[in-house]
Amino acid sequence: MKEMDISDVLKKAEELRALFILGQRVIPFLEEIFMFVSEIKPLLDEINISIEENLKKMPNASKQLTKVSEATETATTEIMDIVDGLSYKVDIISSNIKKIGSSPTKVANHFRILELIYKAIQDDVDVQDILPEISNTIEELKGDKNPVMPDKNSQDIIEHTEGILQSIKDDSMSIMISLQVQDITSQQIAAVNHLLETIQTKLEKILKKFQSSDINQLVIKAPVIKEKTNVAKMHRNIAFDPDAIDSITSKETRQNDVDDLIKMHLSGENIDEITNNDKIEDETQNEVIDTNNEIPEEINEKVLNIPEDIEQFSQDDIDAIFGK
Amino acid sequence: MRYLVVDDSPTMRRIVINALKTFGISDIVEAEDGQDGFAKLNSSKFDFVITDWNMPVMTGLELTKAIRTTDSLKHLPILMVTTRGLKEDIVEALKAKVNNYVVKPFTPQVLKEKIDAILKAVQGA
Repeated sequence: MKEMDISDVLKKAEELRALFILGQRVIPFLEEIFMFVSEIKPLLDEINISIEENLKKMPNASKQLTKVSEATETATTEIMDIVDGLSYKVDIISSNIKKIGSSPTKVANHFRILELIYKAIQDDVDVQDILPEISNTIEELKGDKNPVMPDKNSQDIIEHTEGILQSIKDDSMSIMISLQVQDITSQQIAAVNHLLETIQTKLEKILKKFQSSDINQLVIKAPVIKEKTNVAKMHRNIAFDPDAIDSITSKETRQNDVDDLIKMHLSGENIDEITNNDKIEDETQNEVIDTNNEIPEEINEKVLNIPEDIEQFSQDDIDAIFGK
Repeated sequence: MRYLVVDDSPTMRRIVINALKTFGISDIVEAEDGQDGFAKLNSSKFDFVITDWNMPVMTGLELTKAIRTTDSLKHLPILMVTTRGLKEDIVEALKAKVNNYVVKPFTPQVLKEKIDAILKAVQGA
């Protein structure tokens, strides 16, 4: 054997030795990994089962939410129908009261006219014979009709009643306005439904990776949304607005803030820098639009002084920008 | 004056229409989304548009942009009535050239105030 061959062999042997030493060092880690994998396998199986079960429940959850929206819309429509009916009845009562209020006055006017006519003809020689009869007739008519002059007390009652009726109408309108909550909540429910659908899709993908079973066997068919019901259409692409529900209690301040922002905009201030997002790009906005309702495009630093923690604008904020 | 009320919620359309009627406005047409509204605007004459933002098919913002880029419609006064009240939303609406903005829930007084303000501005222009 040549010297070179022996040194090569020794070199290879050394490399092999180093490899075995490395192997010896790595083996404990490999053992740990194998133990870890065997330990988490039951956990993974549990997760799989959990995903499967929840996947089965999701279409039902979504369906229930849709039913909630439909039920609230139906109830809201019924309430609005009743309120409209109430308003109609109030209008009728109001009209009747006005007629009652004016009726004694009309009758009294008629008798006044008769008396004036009697006075005008009582000096006429040609009618002297029949004057007593005319006078008696007028008195009889007065007695029959028994007109009640609209005394102050009656007028007060009529006015008071009309005031109450107007108050009922105002309250009816308040009920209608409060029913806006149905629209707000249905939008949020639609957003949650959309989110559920997204989660369902993701879970299906995860399951496909871990299982070879047919996904269609696991997932209950999604409920068919009635087209006539608009409130919970799944394709409504709405970002969940956590402040939308709070808007019900803070409606005045929200509108005030919105009005302020709009007033600032109308006074020529730069609104571009008040948002934290990138500048909104929209090709249509770059077109020159000549309108009679021109709104200045730039809002200056005044808007930047809006406190950063105010993200939701009230109507007053908007008014401040658009200008009242 | 003829008003177009655009909102995918029948409840909201009814509320807005009832409020308009208390102001003496009776010539009102409804649309259930932006696309429906735009079609109606192109087929009849209107003098005022009140629109929601969040709607399927075509949003109120898209409707506003479509109106402002249509020669025959670009001068129409537009009032946005929506639950969206974030700064970014209002800026976006302003850039789309809405005339004014009302956040839900609103009172009839606020709605009337904004309509009157818009009409005053339009007549003054």
